[in-house]
Amino acid sequence: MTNVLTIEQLSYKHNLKTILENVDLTLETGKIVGLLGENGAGKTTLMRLITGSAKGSGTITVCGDRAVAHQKSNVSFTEQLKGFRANTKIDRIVDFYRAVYPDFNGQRFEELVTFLQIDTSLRLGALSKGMKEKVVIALTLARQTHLYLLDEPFSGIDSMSRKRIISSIIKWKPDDATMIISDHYVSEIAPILDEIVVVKDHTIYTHRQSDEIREEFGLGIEAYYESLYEGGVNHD
Amino acid sequence: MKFDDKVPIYYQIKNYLYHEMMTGTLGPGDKLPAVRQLAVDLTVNVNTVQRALGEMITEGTIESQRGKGNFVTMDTNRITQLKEQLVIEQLERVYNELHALNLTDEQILTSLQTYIERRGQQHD
Amino acid sequence: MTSFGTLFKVMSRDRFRLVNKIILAELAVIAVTLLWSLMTSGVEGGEIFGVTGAWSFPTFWIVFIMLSVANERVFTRDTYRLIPIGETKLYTVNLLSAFAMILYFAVVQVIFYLVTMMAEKDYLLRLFSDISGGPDTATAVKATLGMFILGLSIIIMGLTTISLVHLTVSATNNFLPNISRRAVDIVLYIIVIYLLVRIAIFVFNEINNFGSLLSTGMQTQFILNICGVLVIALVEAIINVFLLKKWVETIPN
Repeated sequence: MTNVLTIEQLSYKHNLKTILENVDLTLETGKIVGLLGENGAGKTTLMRLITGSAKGSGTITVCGDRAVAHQKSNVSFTEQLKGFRANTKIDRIVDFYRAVYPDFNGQRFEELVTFLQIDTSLRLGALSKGMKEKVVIALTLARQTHLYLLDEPFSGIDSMSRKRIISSIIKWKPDDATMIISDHYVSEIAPILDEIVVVKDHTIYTHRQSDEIREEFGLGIEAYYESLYEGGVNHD
Repeated sequence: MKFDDKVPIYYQIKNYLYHEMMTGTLGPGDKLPAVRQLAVDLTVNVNTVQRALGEMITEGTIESQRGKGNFVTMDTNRITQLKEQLVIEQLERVYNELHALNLTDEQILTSLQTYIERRGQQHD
Repeated sequence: MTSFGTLFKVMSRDRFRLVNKIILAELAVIAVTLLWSLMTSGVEGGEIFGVTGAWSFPTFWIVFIMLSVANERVFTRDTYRLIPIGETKLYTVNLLSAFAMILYFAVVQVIFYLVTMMAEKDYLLRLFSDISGGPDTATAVKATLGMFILGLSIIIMGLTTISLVHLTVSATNNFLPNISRRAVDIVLYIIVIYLLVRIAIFVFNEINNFGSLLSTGMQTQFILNICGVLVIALVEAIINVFLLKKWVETIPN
């Protein structure tokens, strides 16, 4: 199996405070990976470093490429609506995407819009939190690329929307693409995760297969994750 | 379907499919849903479904036909065997639990008998 | 990968809309001003041209400020920074798009002047013929063109300078502790004010020397000035791209 992402000796400081230190991480293609950690642990920062939105030291290779522009074309990240004003219509944002991302698949987007029940004639400022997240998910998944970064796609979302989003992830993630989903609320997405990566103490504390955790420790993902903070489980 | 997060998901998917086969929802020779569809229906990862199906193909309970999909085996012996295996697994669990409560084999038998009789009465 | 042309079109679309809105507002203000004159003292000869010219200046500043805000937003928003295109191209497209829109605005203003001039042709011609000993047409055209090019060069430099300050602040903010950040901001504000004063003095001098521009001896000096402005803009642009590549991060949610 080939690797979609290789991170070596990545460190990042913000205002002289260490956020991440000596991060090494390799992810294979075709996986769904849960990125877990407390609020402020550096999950979002790690994603931002992968996209080049934040600048750290160390090397990040996406699909064997280190050139920034190529990396960007291989990554679809959920943080992208900040540049639009509140009165922008969703349709117009879609036009922007269609124009700017050559891998944006209009048909996939239409399917996602139907499935997630999105009304694209609304304005950005008029969307509820759940609807906004659905729009972001639809835009992110409509691109056909190799690495998807979903930053806390479920925070503050009602359970029906959450279920729809999870289903759309299973339905539309390309087989040869890897998806990283960050969350601090694990139980809902646990069944869809191939592996988990825990960010703790400024680095990757654990990187394990989910079913391996269940087999080896007889623990649920959530219980295992919590045990890391209580020091209950011996890990390597 | 609701999963127990403590048990490997691929194992639970297998059990789910076994259950479908035992109850007849999936008869011998029936086509299984496509991998992605199964993943969506069960809200699990495609890779995990693939692993479960892979193991079932190896053990011969389902057969993969290139380009057509996966089918429940036509081999009724294999299905009967599977059923026996599942029954034994369940019995083993109950036996071990009761044994752990310091019940002798005799006591286990009688308590099971009384239990079944009582349930029978409740149902009348 | 996104192409240069596609991105230019996408970026300019919104800015074009913005500039058009401002031009419409300008027209409305001009109309109101003229209406006011009509009701109070009556519209005098040359007033339509005068009012249009007078409102043109503040409108230009609004356009410039709004466009540079749009310009700077691009550097710190993931919406734009995630687009699969190199930083140099992103920067160039962004700058070109802002510049093209300012040029568009300028052309529209020139059309306004010409139209209003036509409307008051008789009066203005009489006015011009009264000024005796003025420069001949060829020199006048050359001077106007010269000032126009100088103006455009200064606008480009204005845009690169604003970016330079913004990107420097943004880059230093990432690695300095909060207290020194404030100090850096203050120092930068002082530098900006100093630069603005310098530019103002430079422009003022150029306008003062406008007369001598007409004499051929000063032409080389004038062209050198334009080149100087453009070289500064180029150096700033190179530093900006470097900052973008190395240090400038987007604003997280």
